[in-house]
Amino acid sequence: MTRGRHGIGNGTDRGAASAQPIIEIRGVTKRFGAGEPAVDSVDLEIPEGELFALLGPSGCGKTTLLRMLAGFETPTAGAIRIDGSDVAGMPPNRRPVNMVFQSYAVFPHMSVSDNVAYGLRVTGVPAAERRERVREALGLVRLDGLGARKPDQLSGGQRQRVALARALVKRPRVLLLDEPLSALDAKLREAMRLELVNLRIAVGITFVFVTHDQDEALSMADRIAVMERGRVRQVAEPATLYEYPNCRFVADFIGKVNLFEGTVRAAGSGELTLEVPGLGALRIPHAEPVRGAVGVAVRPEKVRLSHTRPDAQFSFEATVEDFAYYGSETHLFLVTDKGLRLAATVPNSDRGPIRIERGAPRFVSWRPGDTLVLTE
Amino acid sequence: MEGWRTNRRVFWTFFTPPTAWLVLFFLAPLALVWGFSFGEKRGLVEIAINGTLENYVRALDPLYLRIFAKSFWFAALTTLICLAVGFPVAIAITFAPSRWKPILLLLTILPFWTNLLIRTYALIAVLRTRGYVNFTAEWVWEKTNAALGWVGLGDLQLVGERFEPFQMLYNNTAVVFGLVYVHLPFMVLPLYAALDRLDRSYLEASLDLGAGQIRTFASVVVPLALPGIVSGVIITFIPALGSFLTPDLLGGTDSQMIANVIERQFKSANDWPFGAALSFILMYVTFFALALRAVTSRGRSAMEAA
Ligand SMILES: Nc1ncnc2c1ncn2[C@@H]1O[C@H](COP(=O)(O)OP(=O)(O)OP(=O)(O)O)[C@@H](O)[C@H]1O
Ligand SMILES: [Mg+2]
Repeated sequence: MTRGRHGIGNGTDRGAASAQPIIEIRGVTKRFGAGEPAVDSVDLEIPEGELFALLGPSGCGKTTLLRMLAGFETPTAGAIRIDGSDVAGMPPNRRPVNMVFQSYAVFPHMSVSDNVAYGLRVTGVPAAERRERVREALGLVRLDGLGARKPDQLSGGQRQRVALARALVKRPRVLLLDEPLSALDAKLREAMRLELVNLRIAVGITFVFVTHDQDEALSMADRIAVMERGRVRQVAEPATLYEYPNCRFVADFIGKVNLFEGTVRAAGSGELTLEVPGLGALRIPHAEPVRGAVGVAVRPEKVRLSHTRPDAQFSFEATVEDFAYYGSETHLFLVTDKGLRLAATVPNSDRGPIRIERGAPRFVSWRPGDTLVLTE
Repeated sequence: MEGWRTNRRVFWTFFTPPTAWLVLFFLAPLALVWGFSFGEKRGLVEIAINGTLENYVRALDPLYLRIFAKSFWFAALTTLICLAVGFPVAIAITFAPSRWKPILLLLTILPFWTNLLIRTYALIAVLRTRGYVNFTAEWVWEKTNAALGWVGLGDLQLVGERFEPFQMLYNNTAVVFGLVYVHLPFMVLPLYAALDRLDRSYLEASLDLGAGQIRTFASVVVPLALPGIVSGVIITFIPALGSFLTPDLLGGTDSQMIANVIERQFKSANDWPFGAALSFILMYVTFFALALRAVTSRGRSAMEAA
């Protein structure tokens, strides 16, 4: 994708990010009255040009954090710097950021063009330049020719494009998007994911988007902050987040996981010996020496099944309790003779008939290195 | 099971009483008065309905036209002031913390709990020469005078030799003031209803796009609250146009409105046909205004659909 061709956005592409982050969040807390804070001492740095996701379950404070960036909420404590300057007390209409609202908030009494032109008109951009920029923005979101329509004559997806064009036409440094895809139907949502990613590359600015959908975050974002009850639990790139979650919450929230409680028997020389009730002892490579009770986890697709005892340093027997066929893969639910349950995902890489029966025995194993050790 | 829509007996049971009520006590008297307006007074109580247009012709006399015009002017001014005062009030209620809203709404309609006559007399007690406003003003005057005397400026009579009470009653200003006081809730309630329905994210989007508060108000709030504004204007204007108690009690000799003239025809002048004609002219004009509103709003929705 060629960058800068559209003229919208003035950021740099990813990788060429400047040393100073475009957004800096330092110890930000937001309380609405008494009780637990909606956002609790959050620290984040977002480099310019990133597609950054705030991910978390409902009510964890994602929207509140985004609204503090936009200027609709004031932090109870902490500081936010956008493009190097502290934005405390700066009203929303003065911040170099624009927002795409979850409901889109496309003005129903204005045509599509007027909606997109609104942000230029109120800041006194001359008519000729305004027309040109509106045309360009509508082209960018592929709404050319629909400028004269009223919002109630548009589909949900088109309304969302209007909201995008209306924000992008302002050439913000950062675009904030609150659950941008949640109001679309499943098929359109998939298509829009890719389109948003491409749009970000085309305009080259920073996108910060909120979502509670882990697939959305994993497939779109450069980096993800996982939030839980107002706190950021982990900030990492999608693959790191999935393969190296730093706590039980993240492991469980991102993707599926088999989570057991165990104890560390021995630690040293880059290895841990874990004891998991019902599974026995596991020796795994692990850099940090940890002690005491830990969570021991493994992703279902890392679990290997075989009819004969595998030639692995670690394996055990289980029976198939249930299974579900998903086309591309099959999910198996297994139970050991000690009553421990775990799930395994096997790809249906062959076209042949599925040979799985309930009650059939299997040997279960996984590579020691695929074991997740979670201290928190 | 039979729904109430399809069960005829249920339908008629519920339908008949209100319809009978409406016909008996509203439409029939109205028709009678309409008939009177084409009649002629014969003697003290006798009216001959002979189809004459005499009453309508008489109503077009400049004397009465002037009173019609004045009534319109008062009602329009009242509506305008109510809109100007009511909008901030409605906005304040809309954005008040949710536990305050019911209380503020209750306060808005509180005047309705007291009879209009009593409220008007209370207003007189506040505004008359020996009323509370003047008492307060006099107290301020005395204190100022005393203070001036104390600093040695007493002889200059800087605030006048004597306290002159404000003449606030029995003039046109008093009438409009009274009309605004009476009709303000009619304006605030529909405005509040419209503003409360308005999605906050529209306002936030406007601010986010760089508009200030005033620009947001003019370009987003007013257009989206327009149906509420129109409702408020109509249900303020119509009763204000027909007011007779307020101009009667607060007005001077030249502040009478058309309803005062009508009342006089039915009572002291005992000219029912002429009173009836005036009443119906007022009603036609009101209908015309409502029809105009219906047409314009239909035009707008047609335009939006285009
Ligand atoms: N204006 C407000 N007044 C009081 N409490 C609020 C307000 N806004 C948010 N909260 C509370 O703050 C917490 C976080 O809300 P927030 O809207 O940020 O969650 P979220 O992560 O966006 O959730 P969702 O995925 O459901 O949109 C919630 O407990 C919510 O009830
Ligand atoms: Mg939210």
